[in-house]
Amino acid sequence: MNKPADDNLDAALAKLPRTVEPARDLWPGIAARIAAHRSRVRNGWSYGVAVAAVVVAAAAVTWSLLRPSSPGTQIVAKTTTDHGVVTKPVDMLAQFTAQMVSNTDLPPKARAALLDNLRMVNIDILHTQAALKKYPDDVNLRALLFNLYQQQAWLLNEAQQVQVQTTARTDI
Amino acid sequence: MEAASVPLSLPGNSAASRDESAALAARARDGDVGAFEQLYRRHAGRVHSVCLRITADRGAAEECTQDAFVRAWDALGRFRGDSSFATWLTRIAINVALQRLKLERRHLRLVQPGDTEFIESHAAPKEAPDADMDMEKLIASLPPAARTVFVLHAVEGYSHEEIAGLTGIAAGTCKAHVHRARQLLQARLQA
Repeated sequence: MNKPADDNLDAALAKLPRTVEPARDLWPGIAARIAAHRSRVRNGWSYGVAVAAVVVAAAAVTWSLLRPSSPGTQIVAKTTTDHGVVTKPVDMLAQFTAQMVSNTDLPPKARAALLDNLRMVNIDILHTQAALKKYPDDVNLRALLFNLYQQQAWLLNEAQQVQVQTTARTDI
Repeated sequence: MEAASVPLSLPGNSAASRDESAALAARARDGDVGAFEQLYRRHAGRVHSVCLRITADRGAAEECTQDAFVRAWDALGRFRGDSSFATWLTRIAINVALQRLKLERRHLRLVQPGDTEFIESHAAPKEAPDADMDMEKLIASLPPAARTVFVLHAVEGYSHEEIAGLTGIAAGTCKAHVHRARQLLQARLQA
């Protein structure tokens, strides 16, 4: 490479502008994405805490039902004879999860579908808890109950994901 | 022999400006979006110029600029002030632009000489507009790999080893790209 050509090139490079402003103001789009991100993080945290709370609450109900001479035992013993089975606990869990779902911005159809699924899982959870009361050493029942809790958490998490997808990237 | 690179000095990178940016970054880290907007106003031109020169595409450069600032917002907690905010932000912008090139394989979507829209929207009209625009056009018309490495080395001032780390190609290959880019540019300047 010859020196004059190098010098010419370097001189031309040195003249390049330090900054090239964008043709339009990009801040509104950035601000919208930051706001969406903050909202997701906030919702994610509160939702995560709520999911954990549901699982803990369900586990607590199980523990109280399986505990000898607990009030829960009476509820199950009573309800299994008169078809009110699990009505109270189901209502309790259903109310709890329904409240969580109602706090989301899901479309009505998705929310209804989610509530239906949660209701079914909650009923299964209570039935399994009742069965475990009769057969407390049944490993399969315990595994089933654990699996149902996982389904419950998964459903709530899916609801959160759907919500995130519908609120993300609103700027473009 | 390869001539020494002539990196552009970073605008707003004086000691006072660095302090101000650092203070704004600290406020932004605490959730002050207004402070972050001030950082955007200070550094948008710098970030955009890097993205534009790497992508050679106006739309892509604008998207990369937005992505870079959003990423910077997310990463503010990791900004320790070891380097200036401008340097830190520029590095993020380079990574965003390189990632875009890799992911979208837009290497051949170049700004063509004579693209008046590009010229009008990106010229620096205050001083020697023709010379600057010509050089921008010439750089944009380089083959993508050579352009990327050349911009990082000759314009941004990164060493071949640093570019190797950023791009994942060997330092020797970086040197070859820069050499080729310089030859092409010199030939076009003399034409």
